[in-house]
Amino acid sequence: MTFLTIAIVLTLVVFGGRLVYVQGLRGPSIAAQARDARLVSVAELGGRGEITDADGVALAASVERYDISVNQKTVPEYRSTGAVDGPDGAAGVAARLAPLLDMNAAELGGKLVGDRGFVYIKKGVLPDVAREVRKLGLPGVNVDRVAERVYPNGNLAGNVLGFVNSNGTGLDGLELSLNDRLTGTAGEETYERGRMGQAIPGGYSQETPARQGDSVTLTLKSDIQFRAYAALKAQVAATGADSGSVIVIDTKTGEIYAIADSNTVDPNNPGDSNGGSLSSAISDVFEPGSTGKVITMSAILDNHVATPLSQWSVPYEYSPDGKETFHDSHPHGVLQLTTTGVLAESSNTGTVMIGQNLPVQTRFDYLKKFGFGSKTGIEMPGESVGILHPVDSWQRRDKFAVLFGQSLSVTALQATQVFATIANGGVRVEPHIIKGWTSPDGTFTPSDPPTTTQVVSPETAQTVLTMMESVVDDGTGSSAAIPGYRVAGKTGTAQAWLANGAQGITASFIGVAPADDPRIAVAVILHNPRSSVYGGVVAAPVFSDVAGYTLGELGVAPSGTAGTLFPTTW
Amino acid sequence: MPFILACMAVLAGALLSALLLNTSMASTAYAKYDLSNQLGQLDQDAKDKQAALDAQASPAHLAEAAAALGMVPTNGTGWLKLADGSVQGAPEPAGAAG
Repeated sequence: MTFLTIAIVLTLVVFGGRLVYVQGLRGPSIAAQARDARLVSVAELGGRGEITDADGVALAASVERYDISVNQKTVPEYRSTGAVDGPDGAAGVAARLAPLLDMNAAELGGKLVGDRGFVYIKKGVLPDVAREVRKLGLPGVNVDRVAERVYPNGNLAGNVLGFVNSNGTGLDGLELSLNDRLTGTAGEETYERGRMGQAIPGGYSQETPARQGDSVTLTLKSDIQFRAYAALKAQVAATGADSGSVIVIDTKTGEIYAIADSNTVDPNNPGDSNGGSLSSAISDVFEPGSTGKVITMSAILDNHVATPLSQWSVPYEYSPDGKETFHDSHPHGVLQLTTTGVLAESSNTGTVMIGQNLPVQTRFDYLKKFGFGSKTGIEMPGESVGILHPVDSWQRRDKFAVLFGQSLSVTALQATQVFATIANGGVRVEPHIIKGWTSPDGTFTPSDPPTTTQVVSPETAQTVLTMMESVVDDGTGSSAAIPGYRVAGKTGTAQAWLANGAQGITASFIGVAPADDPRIAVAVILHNPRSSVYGGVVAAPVFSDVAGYTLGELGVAPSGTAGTLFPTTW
Repeated sequence: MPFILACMAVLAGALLSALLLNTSMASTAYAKYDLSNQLGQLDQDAKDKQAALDAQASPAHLAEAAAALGMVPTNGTGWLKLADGSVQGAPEPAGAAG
C-alpha cells in the first residue's frame, strides 16, 4: 500500500516538475515560437498613379496581373488523388496546369523538371485564371500578384507618355521624368494566420497601409491628339516624307492640346520601336527657314526700321555687302513689294534688304528673346535647346542667313512658341503639358501658373499678325485657309542636314487661328517630303485640317468679319 | 447553499458568454476573410472591365468602328448666329464613303 502511494506521488512529482519546466521555464519561448509560426507578413502593392488627359480619359493605367512560378524541388511531391486521374509528379502538374494557362502540356512539363527553387512559367496572367490556378493547390506552384501598366489608346501620345520596364519603373518619357511621384509606396500587414489564411481575431496585428501613387492630368486632349496624329501620318505617307510632327498649343494659356510625331512608339510594345529619341518634336532640331522671317519682321517693326507699308524693289538675287549673295526660291524679275508683301511671298532677298538695317546684336537678341537656344520649360524629358551660336562666332554669311532662319536650329516646339507669342499680344507663355496632380484621396492640385514674358510690344505683335494673315490670304500659305475663319501663319522651306551629310529639306507651316482673336497655334513640320518641298503645298493642308478640327472641338465660332490686310504690292 | 449556486451560475454565465463572444469573433473573422476575397475579386474584375472599356473608347478604335460602319468624318462645324440667323462656316454634307 505504501509502495503504491509512493509510486503515485513520485509520478505526480515528475509530472509536476515537467509541468513547471515546460510552462514556467520554457513557456514564454515556446509560446513565442508558436506565434511566429502563426504570423504571416503580407506585402500590399502600392499602385502606380494614372496618367490621364485633360478630360480625364485614361492614357496610362495599372491593372493587376499574376506571375505563375514553380519551385522545381517540391513539384515532384504532387500526387493525383481521388476524383482526379492522371500521372503523379511534374507530369501530372503539367497536365492540370496546361489547359488553364493555355500552354502545351509537354513543354510545360519540361519547365517543371529540374532543381531550381524558382522558375517563372507564365507572367502577366489574368486574375480569374490565377484564381483557378490557386484553387488547384498544387505543390510548388506559386501565384504572385504584380501590377502591369496598360495604355488603352494604343500609340496615342506614346511619344509623350513613354513606357515602363517589366518592374513597372518608367524608362522613357513622362513615365520616367514623373516616376517618383507616380510610384506608390508598398504597404505591409502582419497578422496571426489561421489554417485557411484568415486573420485570428484578437491576435497580433500590425499594418502599414499601402499608398497609391499620385495621378497626373495632362493638358492633352485625346481627340485633338488623335486627329493630329492621323492627319500627320496620312500626309507623311502621301508625300513620302521621312517623318513629321504636329503641335497644337493654346496661345493664351500655353497648354499643349496635341503633340504628335509620325514615328510614335506604342507603349504597350516599346520593344518594337527602332530607337532614337522618344519625341522628335522636342528633341530633333532643324533650321526654321522662312519661319524665322517672322522674328526678323518683329525686330524690324519693334526697332522702327520699316513699316508694314514701306516700299521695296525686290530682285531675285541680292548682295547686301558685295561679298555674299542671296536669292529667292523661284527666279523672278524685280517685284514691287511692301514689307507685308516680302513676308507674304517669303522672299529671302527682300528680307535681307530690310533686315540688313538691323544691328547684328539686335538680330541675336530677338532670336534669344523668342526662346531660341533655350529650353521652353515643357515638362517632357529629352528636350533639346536647339543650336544658336553666340553672336561673336557668326561668320559673314551667318549674319544675314539668320534673318531668314538659316545658320541656327530649333525644335518644332520652339518654332511653335514664336507664333504663340505673336498671337498672344507679344507675351510668351511657357508651354506646359501637365495640368495638375490628383492625390489618392481624390484632391486635385493644379500646377503652378506658367511664367509669362513680354517679348515684343503688343502693337508690334498685332501688326505682325496682320501681316501674317496676308500669307494665307494672298501668299504662299493659301492651302492653310480654314473656311469661315481668319488664319494667320507662315510657310517654311529650309535646308536640313541629315546624319550622313546629305542635304535634306524641312517643309513647315505654322499658323494661328482665328486671327482676329487667336486661341490656338498649330505647327506642321515635315522632313524630306518627296512630292514637293514647299511648306505651302505639303504642310499647309494638314494645318487646315487639324486647326479647323481643333476650333470646332473647342467651340470657337468664326467671327464672320473680314480683316483689313496691308497691301502686299505697290 | 443558494449563494453558492448563484456564484456558480454567475461563473458559468461569464464563461459561457466569453465562449460565445470568442466563437462569434472567430466566425466573423471567417466571414470577413471570405468577403474581402470577394471584394478583391470584384475589384479586379471592375478594373479589367474599365481597362477594356478604355480600349473600346479610344479614338483610334472609334474611328475604325465608324469606318467599318461606313461613316465618314464631317467636313467641319457649321455655326448658326442667333442674332441674325446667318450661318457661318457651313460645310457641304460629307459624301458617303466609297
